[in-house]
Amino acid sequence: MRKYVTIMRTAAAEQLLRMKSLMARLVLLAVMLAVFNAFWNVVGTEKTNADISAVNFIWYLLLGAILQFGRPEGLHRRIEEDVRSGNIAYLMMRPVSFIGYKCCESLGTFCVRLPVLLIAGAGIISFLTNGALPSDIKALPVIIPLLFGSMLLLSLGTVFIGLSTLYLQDSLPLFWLVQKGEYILGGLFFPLTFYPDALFRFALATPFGAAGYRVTSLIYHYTPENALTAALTLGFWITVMTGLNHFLFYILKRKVSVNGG
Amino acid sequence: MAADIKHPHLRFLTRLYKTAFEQTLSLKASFILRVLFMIVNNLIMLIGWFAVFGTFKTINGWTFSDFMFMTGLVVTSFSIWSIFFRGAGIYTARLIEYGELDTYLLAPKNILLHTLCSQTDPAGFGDLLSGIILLTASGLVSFGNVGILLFCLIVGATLFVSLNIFLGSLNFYTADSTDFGERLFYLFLNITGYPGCIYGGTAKLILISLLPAGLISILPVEQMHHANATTLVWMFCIAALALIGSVLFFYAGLKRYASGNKIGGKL
Amino acid sequence: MPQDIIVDHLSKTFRIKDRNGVKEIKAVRSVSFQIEGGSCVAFIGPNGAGKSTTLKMLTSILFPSGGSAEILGMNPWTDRAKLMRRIGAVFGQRSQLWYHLPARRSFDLIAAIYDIPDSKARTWTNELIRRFDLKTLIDKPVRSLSLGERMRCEIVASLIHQPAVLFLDEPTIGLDVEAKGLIRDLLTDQIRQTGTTVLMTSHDTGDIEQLCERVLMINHGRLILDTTVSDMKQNYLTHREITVTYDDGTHRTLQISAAQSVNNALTKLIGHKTIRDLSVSNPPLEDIIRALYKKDKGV
Repeated sequence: MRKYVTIMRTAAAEQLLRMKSLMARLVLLAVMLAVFNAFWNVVGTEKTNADISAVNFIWYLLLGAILQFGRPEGLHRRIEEDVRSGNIAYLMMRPVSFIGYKCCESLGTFCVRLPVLLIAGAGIISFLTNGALPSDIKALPVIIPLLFGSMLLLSLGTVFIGLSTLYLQDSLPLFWLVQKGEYILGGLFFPLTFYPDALFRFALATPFGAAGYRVTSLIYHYTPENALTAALTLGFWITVMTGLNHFLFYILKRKVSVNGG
Repeated sequence: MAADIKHPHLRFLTRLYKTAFEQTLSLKASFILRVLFMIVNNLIMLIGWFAVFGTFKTINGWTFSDFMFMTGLVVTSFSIWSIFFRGAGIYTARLIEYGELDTYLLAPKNILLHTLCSQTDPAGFGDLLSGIILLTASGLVSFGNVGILLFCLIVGATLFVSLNIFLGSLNFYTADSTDFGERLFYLFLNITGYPGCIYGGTAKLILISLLPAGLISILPVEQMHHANATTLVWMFCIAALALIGSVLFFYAGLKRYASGNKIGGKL
Repeated sequence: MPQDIIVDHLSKTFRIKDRNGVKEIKAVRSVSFQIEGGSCVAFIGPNGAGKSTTLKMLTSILFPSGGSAEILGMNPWTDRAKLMRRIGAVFGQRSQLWYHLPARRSFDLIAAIYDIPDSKARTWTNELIRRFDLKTLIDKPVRSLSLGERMRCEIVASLIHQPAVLFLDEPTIGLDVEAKGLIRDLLTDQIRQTGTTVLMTSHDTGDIEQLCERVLMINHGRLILDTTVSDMKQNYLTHREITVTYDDGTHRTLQISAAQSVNNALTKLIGHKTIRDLSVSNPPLEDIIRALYKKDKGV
């Protein structure tokens, strides 16, 4: 277990050194929040069944944006390169789980980026909305650990894409689809309540809904039951994805040893 | 055929494209996969917006068909970049980062054109296809305004190419800005992903001048409904300025590369 | 014979920013030499000595900090477009071939880049393909070629426009003994047949011995030796090393003078053990440079 903590620490340390790239991300975050705000200013006055206030709306999207900007870039691309170059055969020989290694890298990165993005995002939002706070800001201590769960689930998905290179020759197209899944079904794009009922239910049943909306909507819809459901569904999907990844990795391992590395 | 072309620059360009396309097509499975997935990818996004428009009916006067037209325009202009000028952007940034621009510097041809046209992305064909479908399906295009559409496409493509020349050249000035450039590009894309009608006042002003994403996502829809000569001239000027600016930025940076502000792997 | 390459007090200083401010690295310090048309000259030195930097300046990729140079009567930094048509370059770690396509496609493109009419390009390329024995390789994707096969294609790619001066940077780097030998033989023939002026860098004394008649040695950015290859061999390649590996896994190395035959040494080494493996090598370049450098300081 200690080695995984070390991996996370190393990834976090690397992020601390790359403040410049984090700053670039903050600029991007500010513009995104401004866009959300502009959107709300236009549609917010209209009567909808979405049932959400401006501040709640933009805070909800902030948490989604944090998940988007908080993870390491090109993780799937790096895994793809490892698989393609056969480098993965060497990585397998290390006494560390490959999947665990990649996930810890993500979580370590997130450790540094989450607080920076959250504080900066809160600042920008209060500038845009004159300091108003979302309904359930008190739930933040519950939401933050759950966000780590979301990050773990999203990373497992990314690792899955990377490993699938073995069959797909090119993992980028799959990555696009998953990205869109996170956007639309995970509700990183709009709260799922904007959708017709059938789409809403479908989205909630997917891992995207578990990593996104279920957790991020707690900022305005917190109840202990909601939080518990979010935690349980996250746990369920994390277990499933871990299993799937290990299965894929197991096949990969056999294939690599057949090819002699 | 390329063999019959006498003009040296034309012959060079046609053969460069031929080689780039052949390289892309040589990985058949990947090519088909990318084209298909890109179409699906664009459709999924549209379904999301369809749901949102289902809730709001119109957003600040825009209907779903306006939004479809805007997306079609964005995707089609984007595809012109990714099919014909894909060398601009991340590809150039990597060439600079790894000192591989050397190979291009050794060739007696215009280096900017040579790098721009030496890459093509199969996903671009998926974008082009879905773009044409969206433009047609939007119902906004008629015989009367097809000229405006073509003009907007040229402006859009010019902006995407200029932006990428600019971002790709950043690496001349500060090392390790590939990631930053990529982020900035996504920012531009993100802005053009939302219906242009949501921006008003200062935001709109910025988006049609300094950060001219609005030249693709705001003004064209307006122009398709009611063309206005002043606006069209304005679009032309901004696009031309962006292109000239980015080309100058590239050459100024190239001088720094030549003067060795970055050391490659070896001395 | 005219001087094809004239280098006069050429210098290059890199400025690198790091935490402690701007650091200056003098990669090349006032290097001067001339190379006669039609000759083949080796440019050697340890890692980071300034070989590649000099080569990049002469091929107009880098702009010098000081000094001047003239290649075929042209200034590399003002007559770039004109000069490019007359010189060729192979940088061992850079590829000019399209990775997923057969090399033939890259050759066709290069003909267009240099504005060579197709009929002329085809005749000459076919001749090069014959000389470099690429017939069976030319239609395979470059990614499926071995490193040595790829290097042969790279060299042909740089010869398509029939350059008068050829720059080779580590053309045999990373190749096995057989591939190295082949490339050397092919280059030797090529140079002899076309009279191309060649300036090449290499880490391998074998390359230099076979291909070049003159050696320039550079260390810490300074030219420290300019002599003929036979002179260098006489003065600095004074010994060889024979290493044997015995059946029991132990090794033994013996140094013999260049004049001595390997026979005697072998008899000594065989003893009563069985030899599993044997290698004869020249002293590594670094040893020669060290010896030279000592001498350089002593003067």
